[in-house]
Formats: sequence, C-alpha cells, structure tokens
Amino acid sequence: MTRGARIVLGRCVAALPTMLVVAFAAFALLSAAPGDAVDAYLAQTGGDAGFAAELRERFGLSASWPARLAAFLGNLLRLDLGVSVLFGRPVAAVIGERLPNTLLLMAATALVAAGLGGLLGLLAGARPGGVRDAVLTTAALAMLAVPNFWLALMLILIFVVGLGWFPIGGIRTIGGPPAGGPVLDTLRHLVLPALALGIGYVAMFMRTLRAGMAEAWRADHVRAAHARGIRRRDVVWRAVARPALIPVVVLFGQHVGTLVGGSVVVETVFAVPGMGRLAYEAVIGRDPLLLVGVLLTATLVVLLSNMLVDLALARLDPRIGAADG
Amino acid sequence: MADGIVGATLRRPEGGFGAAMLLLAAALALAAPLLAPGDPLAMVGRPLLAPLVDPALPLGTDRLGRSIAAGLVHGAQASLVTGLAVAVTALCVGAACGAVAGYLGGIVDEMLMRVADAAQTVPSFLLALALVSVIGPSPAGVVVALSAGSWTATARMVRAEVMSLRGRAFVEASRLVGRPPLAIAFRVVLPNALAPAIALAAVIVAGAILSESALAFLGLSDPNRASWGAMIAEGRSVLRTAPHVVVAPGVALFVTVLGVSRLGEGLRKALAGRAT
Repeated sequence: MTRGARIVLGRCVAALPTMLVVAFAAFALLSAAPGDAVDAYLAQTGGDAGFAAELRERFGLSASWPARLAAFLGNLLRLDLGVSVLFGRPVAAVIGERLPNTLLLMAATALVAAGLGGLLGLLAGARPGGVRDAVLTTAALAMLAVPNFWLALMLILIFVVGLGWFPIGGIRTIGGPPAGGPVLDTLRHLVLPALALGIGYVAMFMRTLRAGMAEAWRADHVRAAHARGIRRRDVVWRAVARPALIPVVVLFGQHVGTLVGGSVVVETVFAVPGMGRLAYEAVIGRDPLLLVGVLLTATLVVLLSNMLVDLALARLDPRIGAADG
Repeated sequence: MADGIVGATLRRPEGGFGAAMLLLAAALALAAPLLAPGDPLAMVGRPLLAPLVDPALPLGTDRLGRSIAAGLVHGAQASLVTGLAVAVTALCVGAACGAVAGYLGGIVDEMLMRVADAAQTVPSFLLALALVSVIGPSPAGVVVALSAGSWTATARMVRAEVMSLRGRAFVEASRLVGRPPLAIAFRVVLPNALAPAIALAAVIVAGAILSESALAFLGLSDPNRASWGAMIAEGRSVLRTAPHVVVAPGVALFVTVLGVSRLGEGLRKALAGRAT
C-alpha cells in the first residue's frame, strides 16, 4: 500500500467514531429543538390535533427514540438530511448549492493568509530581533485580537464607502455584465471577505514561520552555510524558510474549523450566499433540520481538510506516514 | 507559590500591559452603575449625536438616541462575565473529564476521548450557534453554548499530565493506603496537573469574549442587556453616516481581547520560567 493510501485509510478509520458522536449530538439537538417537522408543516397548511397525530405517525415521529435514532442514522447514510422548512426543498440540495461559495471563500482566505502571512513571516524571520521583526510581531498581536465581523465593517468603511475600490457584498455582479470577466469579478468580490476572515490566520502564519525561522538560524547546518559564505538571501530561502513551512501547514489543519465558524459572520456581513450565512438563516428562520445539516456538512469539511493536510505534510516531510508498514 | 507566579507575571511587560488593560475594563464594568446610572438601553438624547459634542454624552448616541458611553461600560460587564464564566465552566468540565479519563483509562478513557475528538472537530462557533438556538440566548445559555466547544484542550492536557503522574511514587502510596481511585484522581493528581491548565484559561477567555460578541452581533444575545456585539450590529445600518456607533464598541472589544491574551502570555512565560 502506498503512503498516500495508508494516510487516507487511517484518517477514514479515525473519522468514523467522530462522525458517529456528531450524528448522536445532531439527533439530540433535533429532539431538543422546540417544534418538529409536523409543527412546521401544519404552520403552513393548517389542521387539527388528530391530523397532527396522523402525520406524526406517517413521518415516524411518534415512534420511540431508539427507533427514531435508527431512522435518522439510516437517512444520514443515504445522505438524506430531510426537507428544509425555510426553503421547501431537501436540505442536502440547499447546502450543495451554497457549499461551493464557502469553499471558494476558504480557499481565498488560505491564499491571503499563506501569501501575506508568509511574506510578513519571512520579513520578520530573516533577521530575528531586528526593528522590522519587533514592529511585525507587535502588529501580529493586534491582528489576533481584532473581531472579524468588526474588521469586515471597517474594511467596508475604508475600501467601499471611502475609496470605492471593491463591491460591498455578494459573490458576483448581479443585474449587469461582470466587470472584467467572470473570474476577475468573483475575485474582486472575494478580496474583502477573505481579508476579514483571514486576518487572524495571517498573524498565526507569520508568528509560526518566524518562530520556526528564528530556531533554524541557530541550527548547525545554517551556521555552516553562513560560514561557507553563501549569500544570506539564499540561506534564508533554502535552509531556514523551507523547514519552517511544516508547522505552518499543521497550523492550517488545526484551524479549519475556526475558519468555517468565522465564515458565518463574515458571509453575513458581506452577503456571500455560502454555507455560513445559511447557518445564520437557519437560526433566524427556525429551521433545525437545515442547521443540523450545515453542522454535519461542516464537520465533514473539517475532516476532509485534515486528510488533505496530512497528505500535504507527507509530501513536505518524507518521514511522515513511512514509519510502519 | 501563588504570590510568586502573580509577581513574575506582572513583572513581564506583556503581563503588566495585559493586567492594566483588563483592570481598566473590569473597573469600568464594576463602576458602570455609577458612571452611567439608569438603563443603558434608554433614550437619553438626540439620535446619532456625534462624539465630543455633548459632555454628558462623550461618545455620542446611536440611531435610537442611546448613549454609546453607557453602552460601552455596561457592555463590558456582559463581555467579561461571559468570558470568565465560559473559562471556569470549560476548565472545570475539561479538568474533570481529563482527570477521570487519564486516571481510569480503558473504555472510559476511550469513550471520553472520542467525545472530545468530536467536540474538537465540529466548528465550535457553529456548535454554539446550534446550542443557543435550542437553549435560547439567555446569558447562561450563551455560557453553556460557548463552553461546549472549549473544554477539549484542557481535557487533553490534564489527561496527559495525569497519565504521566499516575505511576509516580506519591500516587502509588495513596493507592496503597486504600484511597478510592476517584478520590486519588481529584485530591492528589489533579492539583499537580492544574498549573498548565490555568495558562489555557486566557486563551479560552479571549475566544469566548470574541464569540459572545459574534453571537450578539447575529442577534443571539439577551435583548434587555447591553452588549458590544449587539451595539455593532445596531450601528451597521448607519455605518456610512455615523461610523462612531460601530467604531467605539469594536475598539473596546479589541482592547479587552488584547489585554486578556497579553496577560495569558505573561502567565505562560512566568510558568515556563518557574519550570526551568
């Protein structure tokens, strides 16, 4: 078996109990939520208590809780998440429509964080202890403390209201030709949300890369390279920055969940029709099935991202996944 | 010992800065009834008054003519109380789970750790959103919802500490004199594992303050209490004409979270300095 296949298999086995616990929790949430599918149905059609009891019988809602749990888990296995009261359509279909926008936003955020955070980390770590390092390290502390929904509003105030550089929200231009082609148009819409969502990650990436580089500077092989008279810039890139990248990738894997959580407020501020805003709509519109669907999908996204991170790490470090087997 | 840690924390620049910021926020929160008597949600002036115009309303008013300064000091209560309550809850639940899992081991450990895995995998803000929508956005409901996703790090750390302490001689001695396993876990092992867990508290408080404000921003907070997140949400519709309504509570939030995280960093370094 190849290393890649072994990593994928290992992650899948580890993910099974996690998904099972989350599914139990989802069932408990649905049971605890006030009102059920029949209440929601009757709110639209009307009907008396006898009709409600008949409907509960037909929907399988009058059964005992182990039977309902079994039915719920069975439906999950068939990827049936129920019907959204809010949209009048299957939950899975609504989420499937919204998920690509959130994934796009997450990818843009990862790019911003890796690009900007990497650049700043490189600048700070090239001369640890220097003035530039001190300024950037202080800036990183500030970036970690900014609430992202507030930053989103400040970015709108500066770049939309003040300078007029970017559109105020949405994911593409509606009711007109996309400015500069569809790709550029979407990118322009993504800049501010990605910046608002990614600011904390910029700081985290920067700090991790800087810490790794500061440590690498003290390593023997780096000092040897320095002593041999190799240009400082080449040493920075080849011997100091590359090994420091591994913890940065690990860090990203650890914070995918925070990214998904942050997308709720950022997508709400920027009116991005993604899964995060869908969670908000489900809460406000009292649609527990939809909310639980988002929760389960988000968990799956986190688990899949962790698997991708493992595969990326295996490429960066040949020792990973090669030990046993 | 405790005195030494407090002193060592405050002597560090980050610890002193963090403590000063936090003391300022706490003093404002405690003095809120004196500084801004009455209901902070009551209308006290002309709507959308600019800051620094009326000395009685130093930070101006919002869309409904409510004093922003009054909202800030009363909102500090909500932020700090929620942050501390979440940290206490998460630390207690996490330490208890970690101690039990680490000391008993076996199937109990396995089950608790699988639950911790799940709680760590589910995006914690989504979990909080779902829980608040079921429990309701009361202050206690928000604390429970935010704690649900923040106990796992403590549990893992305490579990690891307990496992490494379990085989030590003084624990063996307790077992030999016949104390029951749970009593040993809580009375003997846990106090020794607590120091690093306390440094985690600052991270939890900072995260909880941010998440509480984000929930309030989305409209999931007690509507009868002032909250910075709710103030920001309120000011959103007048962002263009009266940005001070949004800027003021955001700066307060930023300074508080920065203070908490700096104090935590100071504490972490002080603890690390003691260990070496």
